[in-house]
Amino acid sequence: MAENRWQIILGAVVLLVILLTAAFSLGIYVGRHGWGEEGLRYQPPGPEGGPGAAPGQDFAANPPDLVGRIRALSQLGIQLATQDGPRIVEVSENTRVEDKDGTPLKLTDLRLGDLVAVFGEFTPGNGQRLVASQIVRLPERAPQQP
Amino acid sequence: MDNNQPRRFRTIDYALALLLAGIAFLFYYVTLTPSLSYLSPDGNELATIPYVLGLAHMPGYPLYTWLGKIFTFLPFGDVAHRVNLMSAALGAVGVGGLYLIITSLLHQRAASPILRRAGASLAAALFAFSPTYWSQAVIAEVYAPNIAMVALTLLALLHWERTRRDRDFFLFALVFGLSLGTHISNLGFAPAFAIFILLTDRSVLKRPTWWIAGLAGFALGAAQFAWLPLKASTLNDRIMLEHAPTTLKGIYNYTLGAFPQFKFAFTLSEIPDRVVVYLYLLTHQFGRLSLLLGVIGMVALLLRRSRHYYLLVGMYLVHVWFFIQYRAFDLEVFFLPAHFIWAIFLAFGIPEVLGWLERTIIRLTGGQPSRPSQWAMAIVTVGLALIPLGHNLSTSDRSYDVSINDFYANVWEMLPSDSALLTQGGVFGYDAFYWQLVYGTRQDVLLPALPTPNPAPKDILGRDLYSTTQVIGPNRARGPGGLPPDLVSNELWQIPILTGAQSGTSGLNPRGRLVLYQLSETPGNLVVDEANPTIPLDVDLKGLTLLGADVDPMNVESGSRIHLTLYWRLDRARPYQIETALDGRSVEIHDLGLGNLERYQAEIGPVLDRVILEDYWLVVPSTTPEGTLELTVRIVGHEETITITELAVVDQEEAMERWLRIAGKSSSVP
Repeated sequence: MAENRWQIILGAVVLLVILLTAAFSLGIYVGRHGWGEEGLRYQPPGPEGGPGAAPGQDFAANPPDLVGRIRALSQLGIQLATQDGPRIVEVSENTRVEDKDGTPLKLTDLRLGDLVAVFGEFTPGNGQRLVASQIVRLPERAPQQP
Repeated sequence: MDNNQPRRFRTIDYALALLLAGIAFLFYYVTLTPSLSYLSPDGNELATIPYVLGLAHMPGYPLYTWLGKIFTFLPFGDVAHRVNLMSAALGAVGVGGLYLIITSLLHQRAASPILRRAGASLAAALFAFSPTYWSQAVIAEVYAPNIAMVALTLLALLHWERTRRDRDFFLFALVFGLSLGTHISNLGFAPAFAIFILLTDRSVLKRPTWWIAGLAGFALGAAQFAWLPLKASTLNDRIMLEHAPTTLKGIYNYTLGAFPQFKFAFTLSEIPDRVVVYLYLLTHQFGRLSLLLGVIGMVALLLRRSRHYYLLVGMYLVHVWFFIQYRAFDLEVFFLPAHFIWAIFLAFGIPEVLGWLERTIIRLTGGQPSRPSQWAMAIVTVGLALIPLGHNLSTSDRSYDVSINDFYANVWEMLPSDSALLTQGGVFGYDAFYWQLVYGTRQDVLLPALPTPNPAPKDILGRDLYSTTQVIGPNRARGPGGLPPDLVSNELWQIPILTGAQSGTSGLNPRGRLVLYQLSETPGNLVVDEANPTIPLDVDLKGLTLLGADVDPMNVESGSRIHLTLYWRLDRARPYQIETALDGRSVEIHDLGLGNLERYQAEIGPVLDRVILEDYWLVVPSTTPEGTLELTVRIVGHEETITITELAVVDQEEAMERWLRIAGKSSSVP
């Protein structure tokens, strides 16, 4: 019985450490990223520009609507590979394109494989198409193995 | 009597486990991917390797390969379908096993038997229909079979705990050793197993027969890795070949030392974010309430079954600790064993809450709990499983995912004799390799990347060249699947001649475009001076005019293709993207001029005010319903949709029959 008591005490300490670690991590996360989900997505890109990484920058105050890697692009639209599958980003003359540090870019500066965060409005339907108001090119990451 | 002993199973427990596994299998089967899929980056390789009894990517997965081979003998579907079915079947075994583990551990004081079983059923169902597990149970991947092995390992350990017989310990050690062949990370559970064994019966350490049974069982299970050097000669992936398991060091690098760049890849300051990533993924599986219920369950487990607490929390912590520091783009699947264990914590939490409710009702009403009230609570509890089922059904359904097979079936039909098809190499090339390795499809067509990731120009000399990956120019596919840069001349034109479904709900392709390119020394008739389309349209789209189109045939079998020619006149020099759709469902998007217009203008001549001719074949997805469907085009960014014609789509041949026929099989027997 005494042995069982020690097992329970030690187990309780372990559980307490788990809970404290989770609470501490959450606190650090919220301090860095706010309550948004952007900090959750910083994973490396998939093979051949598969599901993309998320921004390295802090979008806590205004999380983008899409983050992904450019699969195809033209003056009028971008096909984006996101964590949730492919999405179509439509652009217009009013769409602002910029670098991570805010440097204005032209749409033609974007390249296939670039990682971008997109702000805008989804068109009615299945949520696969978005009209972009702003596109932010994010820093590149090294390709990964399978 | 040891209060910590797991319960013996009753007939009702086996029946419920079977029922839960059956229900899970039914839903996995209905939502199963019909054949090949890009959902997992390795999925097509893992669908092929079992059939050819080859060597999969690191760490080799021998047990997975052998189990998959057994499933390839099923007498229906194609080989990929049968391997997908293995994930569904073993995924269901994992669900049934989870129920049995839970029900053997739940303490009788937690709640009445009926509520305990209801709670255990709910926890098993929550896991079965959690989005990540479901996604892995419908494709060829290692994760669902691995959960079955984890469940069997735990059941074997709990069985030994009851009997303390050496032969049962041998069985546990054997299953544990075998489980490394579905995922080698299971080895991380060893410390928790050791602690549990010590807490259960330290005296076994003094028994030589126990040691012999354990070591022999584990060694026998782990001996499967002898498969690696035996099959190392079949490797065709650049990275795998660099670490070929032909020496002891090679075997280590291929297994325990695999993917070192993924492991412990984050700094200490990044760990809190990684913990939150894990918590996010956990809540994504079971909902936010599951955090509280899981913690309640851990407390209950500690108080009621302290040594099982050490077993399960030990397994859980090692797994989470390792994978929060793992840098993989498909991270969520690596946490599945941790989610499996969290489901056990949930199962301990749910009956505690139900037991508390039951006791409260008794206090309020006085007397004994009535049978009907217990049944009512049990039904409501089990009914809660409908929430994740309903929520995740549509997103987990992969039964529509036919785009790879539809595309390649048409590729094999179109390629001329003795041509060469350039594909991605290694693990990522199996969407094409599958056909030749499994069915011997079009042996006259050379796949240069199949035998080696580094084909040489002389290998393809004298053959008509085609590709399904970008091999020329700045957009050339790089990375682990990329072909050598000097394989073909950069002077060649890469002309799309066939496009598969690549967007929209009918044929989602997460990996990108399915395009067959012809490699040619000239751009062909990309720009001409006159148009004479059979369907004149003359629609002005502000800078771009659609002059007309040719469509042939007008009656098309679903899964087959139409020959589409679009005649455009470019009035303003701007890039455009063209989207084709069938009855409003997007089929594909391409750049005006099929990606070659800019180069044409730079190297050949002006394109403004001339006729741009897009001449290509378009795959009609085999999921397209029969009937008369509008074929439309639209410029991306424009609202206006132009109807080209009405296509009569027929469905006289089942998709699977068609794929098998084209693969070279008249029946489904390999």
